Amino acid sequence: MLGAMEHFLHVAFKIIVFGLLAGSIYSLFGLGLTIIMGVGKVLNVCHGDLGILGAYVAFVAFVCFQLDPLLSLVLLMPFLALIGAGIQKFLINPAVSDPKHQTTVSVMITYGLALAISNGITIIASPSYRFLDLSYSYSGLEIMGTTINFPRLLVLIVTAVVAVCLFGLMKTKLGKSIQAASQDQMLACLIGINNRKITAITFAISSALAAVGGVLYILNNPLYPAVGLNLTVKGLTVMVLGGIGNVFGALAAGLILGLAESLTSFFIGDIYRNIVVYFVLIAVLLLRPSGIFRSLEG
Amino acid sequence: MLILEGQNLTKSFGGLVAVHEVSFDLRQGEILGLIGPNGSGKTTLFNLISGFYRPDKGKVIYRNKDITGWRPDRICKVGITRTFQLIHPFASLSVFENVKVGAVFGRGGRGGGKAGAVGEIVFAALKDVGLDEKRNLPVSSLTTSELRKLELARALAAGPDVLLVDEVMAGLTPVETEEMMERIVCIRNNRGITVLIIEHILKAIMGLSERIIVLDHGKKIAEGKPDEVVNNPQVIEVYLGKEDGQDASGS
Amino acid sequence: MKVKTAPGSDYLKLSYLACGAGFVILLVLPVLAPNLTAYGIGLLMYVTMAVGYNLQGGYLGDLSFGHAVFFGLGGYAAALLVEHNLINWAPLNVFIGACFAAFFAAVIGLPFLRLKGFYFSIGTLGLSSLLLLVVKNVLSPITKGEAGLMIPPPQPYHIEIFYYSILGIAALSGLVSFLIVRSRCGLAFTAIRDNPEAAAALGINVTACRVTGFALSAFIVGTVGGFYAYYASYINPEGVFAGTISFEVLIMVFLGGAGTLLGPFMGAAAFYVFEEVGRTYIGPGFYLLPALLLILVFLKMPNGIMGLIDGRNKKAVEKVSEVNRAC
Repeated sequence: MLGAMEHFLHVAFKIIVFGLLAGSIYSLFGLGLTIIMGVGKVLNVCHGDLGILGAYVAFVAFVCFQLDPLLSLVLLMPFLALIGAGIQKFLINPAVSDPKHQTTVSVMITYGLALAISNGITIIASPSYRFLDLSYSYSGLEIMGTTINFPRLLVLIVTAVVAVCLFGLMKTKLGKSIQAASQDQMLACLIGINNRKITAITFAISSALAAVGGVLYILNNPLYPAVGLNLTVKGLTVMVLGGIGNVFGALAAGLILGLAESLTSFFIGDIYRNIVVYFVLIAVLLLRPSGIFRSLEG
Repeated sequence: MLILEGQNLTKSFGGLVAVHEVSFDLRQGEILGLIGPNGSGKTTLFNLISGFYRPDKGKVIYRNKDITGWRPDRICKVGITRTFQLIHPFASLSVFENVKVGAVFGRGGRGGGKAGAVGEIVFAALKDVGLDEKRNLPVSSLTTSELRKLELARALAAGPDVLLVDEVMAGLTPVETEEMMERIVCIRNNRGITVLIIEHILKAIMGLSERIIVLDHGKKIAEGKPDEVVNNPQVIEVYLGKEDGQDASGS
Repeated sequence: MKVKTAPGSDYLKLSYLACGAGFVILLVLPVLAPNLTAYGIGLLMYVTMAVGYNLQGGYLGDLSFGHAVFFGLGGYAAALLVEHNLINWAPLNVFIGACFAAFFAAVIGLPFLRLKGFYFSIGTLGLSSLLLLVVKNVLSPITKGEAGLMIPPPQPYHIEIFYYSILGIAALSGLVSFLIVRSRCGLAFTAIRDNPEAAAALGINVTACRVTGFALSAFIVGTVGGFYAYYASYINPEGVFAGTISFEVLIMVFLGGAGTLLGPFMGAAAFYVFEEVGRTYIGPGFYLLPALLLILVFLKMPNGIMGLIDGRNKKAVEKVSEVNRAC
């Protein structure tokens, strides 16, 4: 009897940890997508590809210079932030004539970029799978009879740190401008916020988040050029579930999504894992299009 | 004779009550003005009548028929057509084609489906607002007042018995406002239609309407002839008192 | 009441001429250059899909990110009828497949088209991802899952039969979309795209029109799906439900100019040429070429290739937002 109980706890713990682990990466991608959609009405479908672009750079740095991926993040984040701001400034802004069409045009341009990035990587690095072979991959912490290896722990820790930083950022003047623009562009404009500038800055932050997501993703998962679009779709799901522009919503929705996946995978079967995700996405869209946390927004 | 009647119409968004227990009646052939400060629920009331919002409570009765909660296109087809506060032209269509949409799909659309008939309806509507010369131009070449007239022409082409006009004079010069007022009276007289009009410019609505309803914070606070309404102390307090400042910037 | 000639209408005439010439060339292609026949089939499939997508995405402005669903459903419906020995007469199977796709669109259209703008796009993206997995996993007893279905090619087998079939389908789709656009229905579609509220206020049943457009669009794309199943003699979930298919169609339409009659033809042709050139000379990663084309086109001509020719819409949109801001 006690054994059964212990077994149950053991399994439950495993499901939760693995769920949160996948979920925190979804959260990161969802966060990036939700802030730029909220502020600039930019639907960035190359978000996941920006993430894997960062991941490939980190991978190369690791293979060539033995640089730990998390250390390379320090350089990668500003690098991708620059790329992100550049995309907004030089590719999206000039192509948008009417702000009403920002979303449509941004989809076209960023889908072009998504194709360009993933195919560019395919040409340079071949489409094959890559695995990061970290020295600390095989050791870990034993908690409640389950060994969680260090890369997995790092994912949880880094996500928590990034989330805290992001919430901190939202308390600053810049963060308040971002939130203002996210709620009402016209109004934000009236109180002296430069929308184009804020959108570019938000795109930069969003892309830096993509870098974090990408690097954390390869700590535990194989890397290949086509995975970017999958990550984008997961991020979009998180964005919708959390409610567009809702930072807290995205964070929570990502974790919920991860948990839902690991629960499904355990109780129903692994092949149903993504089916449940998309089913939930459609159900939420049809029943509560403003996301599952609408009431919390006040 | 009553043509359109609102009974205790109520609509709230979240915690905010936009329209609260508003009743009104519209008599055949009259011009009824609807005024009130910004956010007093005028446009929401229009949306309730024209089917864009479903009221939480209350009824809309048109020719003794309950049309509460009908779809906007059905309401248009029975003879109530509205214009919009912000101009809403079909940007990729020409002036003629814009008005044609009203003629083809509006009230007359089903019956007189012949091409010739549609052309006549469009032409008459354009003539009534004074846009017939510009019928072949793209929308982009129109001025602000012409765009407002287009909005009106399109609604007329739909063949309404009741026309709901939402701030058709916003952004016009005093001369253009004068012209628009005359045209609305003319349209009413010639077509024998009934007009419910929202207007911010007080002078315009005073000269135009036979009766006026005043809304404030979603409630009806006064109703009557223009001179009665302007002398109502409550109206002076909520509307005219603040209007001085707005009037300068508004016109 | 003669319509004043809009600037650029000479170019418009030229592009109609170019399309007519293109059609004549395509008509005799298998005779003139038999080794290009297979390329012609690929091109015409793209063209037809783009024409189908344009009816909804271009004229109604509802951007679906999941049109692969209808491609896949059309293909699978046609193939399953063969697989389970029910019907095996190619034209009929393709037709039934297309009807099924249209029926499905009408059914899901009612709830999905209540979603506004971008939410509709995301919803259709979710739907196509869901359907891919359902066909692959849940329905695998019927669909044979990942392994896919084999369809014996119709006998006697001539590539020219396929070629002229798809040419006919493409021409018919083009004709149908031309007739629709010129009819009452087309006027309603454009009005809804430009301004759904005003359209409803003027007596257009917006929901009914949007569902009709969705179903029509699905029918045309479904036809290509059924054709593809027969042409490839094989169909598998990843091959027909992949998200990339949805995005490719979307891109072809916007590349050429959404909501124009010739846009989809131009866009599909440009995209196909770049894709094939890339495939031949670059190998894996060949989508880099069409991707760069796409970015370049959108930077230089946001309304697509046809937008350069007919720029009326853009100016009007700018004007309207200017006036509304001022009030």
